[in-house]
Amino acid sequence: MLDRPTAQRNLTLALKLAIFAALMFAGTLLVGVLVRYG
Amino acid sequence: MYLYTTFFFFAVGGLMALAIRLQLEHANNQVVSAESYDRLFTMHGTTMIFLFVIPVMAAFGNYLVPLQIGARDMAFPRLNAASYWLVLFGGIVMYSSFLWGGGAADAGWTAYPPLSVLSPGHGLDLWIVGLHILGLASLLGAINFICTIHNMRAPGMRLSRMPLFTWAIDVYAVMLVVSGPVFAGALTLLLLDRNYGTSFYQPATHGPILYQHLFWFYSHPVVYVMALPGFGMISEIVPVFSRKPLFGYKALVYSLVAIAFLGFLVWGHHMFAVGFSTPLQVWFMVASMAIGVPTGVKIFNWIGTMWMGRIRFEPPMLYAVAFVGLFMIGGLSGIFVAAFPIDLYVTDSYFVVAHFHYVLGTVPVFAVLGGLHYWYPKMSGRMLDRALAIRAFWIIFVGFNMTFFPMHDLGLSGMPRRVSTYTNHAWDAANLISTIGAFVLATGVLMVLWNCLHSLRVGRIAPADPWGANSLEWYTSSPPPPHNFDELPPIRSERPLYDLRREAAGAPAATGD
Repeated sequence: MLDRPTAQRNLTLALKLAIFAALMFAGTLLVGVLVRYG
Repeated sequence: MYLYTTFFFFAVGGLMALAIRLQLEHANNQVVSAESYDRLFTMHGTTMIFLFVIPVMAAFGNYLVPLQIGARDMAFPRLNAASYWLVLFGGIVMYSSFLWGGGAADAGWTAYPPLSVLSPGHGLDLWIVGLHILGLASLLGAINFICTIHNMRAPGMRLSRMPLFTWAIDVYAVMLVVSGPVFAGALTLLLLDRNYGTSFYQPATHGPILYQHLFWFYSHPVVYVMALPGFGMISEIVPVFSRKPLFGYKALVYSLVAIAFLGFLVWGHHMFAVGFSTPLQVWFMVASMAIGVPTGVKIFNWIGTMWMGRIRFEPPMLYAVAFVGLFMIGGLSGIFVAAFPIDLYVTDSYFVVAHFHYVLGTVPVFAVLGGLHYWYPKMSGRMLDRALAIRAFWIIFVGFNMTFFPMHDLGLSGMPRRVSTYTNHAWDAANLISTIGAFVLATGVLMVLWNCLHSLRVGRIAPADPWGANSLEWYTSSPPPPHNFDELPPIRSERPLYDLRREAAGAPAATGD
């Protein structure tokens, strides 16, 4: 088992990266919408 | 499991390549129909990139990164398992399209609209869904790698002491997190166009150009996603078998990062034929050529490491030396296709096919097989049959060059890619050589696979460190225990095992920097 601080650091970093990836995905869809219908 | 699965897909992709080469063996050949040929080259490219090279790097990374940084496991072991099952599931979804009416995807691995929007049946839809699943697997794996590398290094394992392979996996993971979602977005728009009546990619509003921008914003960095871990493998192998420290460790790390950064700025060089304005063409040309600088630094450093070394030509080193030479051939032809006045003449010709196989084909064939020969004793606890490995290497080396070198000539003399047959008999001889070469190459790869499977049972028992290597994974037993290490040595440099050997020989301990 990981110690609690390391597990917490892992979770925080993973969450930040997942949010960044989600924003990139949403941004791409937005670019598509703006280019086509904007 | 990751390795077995990815090598299974490598074999499937290889079989498709053999069918493609049989079809092109001489003019007007009819081994497969034109429709089947389209599906074959689409699925060959997709399989090799998304089901072999990208996940096989994750497979090596999953195994080696925790060992190289002195961790017990990855940060999220269950997420790791999820990544593997998603790779398998994504592959099954993609290949299930062969069983549906209409057959598999047939628009090339690039799936440019409007062809991909109009492609009949559900093959392309399953291809898109399969890629979404594989993309999710890559993203989860990448997040896991970044967390592991940045939060779970052993005491003393600073970033400036990390093995080059782990550095390469870190950069690989960052690139996947940045670029992967863009590809997912582009594919989502394609899926909507195909099934829900939207028109993001309709030609009237330059939609196909939008797709190409989004596609190559992902797919050019993916070239480095595939290549950089291969560079990392070579950077591990070369110093060990040259009996010297890596020449320019920091320069190699900086060049890894520089290649990744520049890799995001040059996607347009795949799109010269769409007719950008000249300043934009010049930008993409100059930026593409600028990548040659950090890449050249790497090659210089590998050669500098070998220079005056006491080289041992064990199988991993043979693959590494071959990789350096052959990758340079791909790099040189890359300078030609990066120059837009030349690219406009050779685009969509076999010259491009030759170029990207010398760049991306050398990674799975020479870097990954070199890495496999290097780390096989650690993974399996057995040594490979050395004589068989060397014979297989030479067969692969000859087969690879027979297959891909004649394609330069074919491309320069005008043979287009992605055509199921041709009528020009002047191309017969080069195509015949290429087809024979493909079978020679396949024979060599089969010998490697046989060697790996056979040695699992009868190979000599491997010691913890059969090569006299430097990085941490060689400190633990072969194969490692479930918790990786019973104890860790002090880590005072990027070569902790070398430091240990030095201390054992009575030399003063490394000071730490």
